Amino acid sequence: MASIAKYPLTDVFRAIDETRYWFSAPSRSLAEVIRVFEKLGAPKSEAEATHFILQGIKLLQETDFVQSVLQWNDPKCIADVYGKVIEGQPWFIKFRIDEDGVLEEISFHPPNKSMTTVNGTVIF
Amino acid sequence: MKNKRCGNCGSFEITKNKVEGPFRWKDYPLVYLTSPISLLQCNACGETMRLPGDSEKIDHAVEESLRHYTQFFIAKILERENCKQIELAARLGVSPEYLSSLKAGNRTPSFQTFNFLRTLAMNEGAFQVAAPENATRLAKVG
Repeated sequence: MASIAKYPLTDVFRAIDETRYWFSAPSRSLAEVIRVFEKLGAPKSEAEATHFILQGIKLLQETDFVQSVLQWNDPKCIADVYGKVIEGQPWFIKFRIDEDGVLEEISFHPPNKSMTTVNGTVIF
Repeated sequence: MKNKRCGNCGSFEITKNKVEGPFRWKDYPLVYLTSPISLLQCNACGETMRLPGDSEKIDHAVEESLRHYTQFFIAKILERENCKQIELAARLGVSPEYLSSLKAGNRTPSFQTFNFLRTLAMNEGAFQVAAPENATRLAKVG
């Protein structure tokens, strides 16, 4: 298992700053963020959830990396998975940068199972 | 959307469609829009995607829809029960001023208030059950 992410975080952050992103599965990201914060008593709109996710990604460091995974058995679709606690909540974060240089935000939700980052931090 | 896959099911069948929801929003588990909006959608699983700017568009459409439903419920209750706004406000547990702002479409209620208004509007007996003087008199309520 590679301990270095496929997509450098500098490229990821630049894509966000240049508004080159899309959410390919909001049910696994935006809706989950809205659900979590509703339970916490701090409900979020879609725009607020979008902002939270993008800013959350920009908090990532190389040490938060977990692994790269193959999506849909397609060798052209490799995504990076990160795990991080943000605002007291653990998050499973998955994204990729496509051949057009656009950040595809895939997942941003509470982890379904325990995950360990490259520096040994367990996120669950 | 060439070469873009749905992040939920992996399908390439993504087109721009008119979508009415449902959307999860703030403390609302589900919101259906009164007027559909144009979003990228997977024709295989129904997942709707977001491009930059879509979230703001959805927020605007959701608030517009919720305020429209709220105004409809309030009008229906006031007409059916032939009551004053102050009486309805008492049942909701909100100030008359707040109810006025909801009736004018200037505020979006919490899901709790919205759902209570919907119940009062769609269930004819609920208005009497919800009378404040009956709140702690179980024999009357039961």
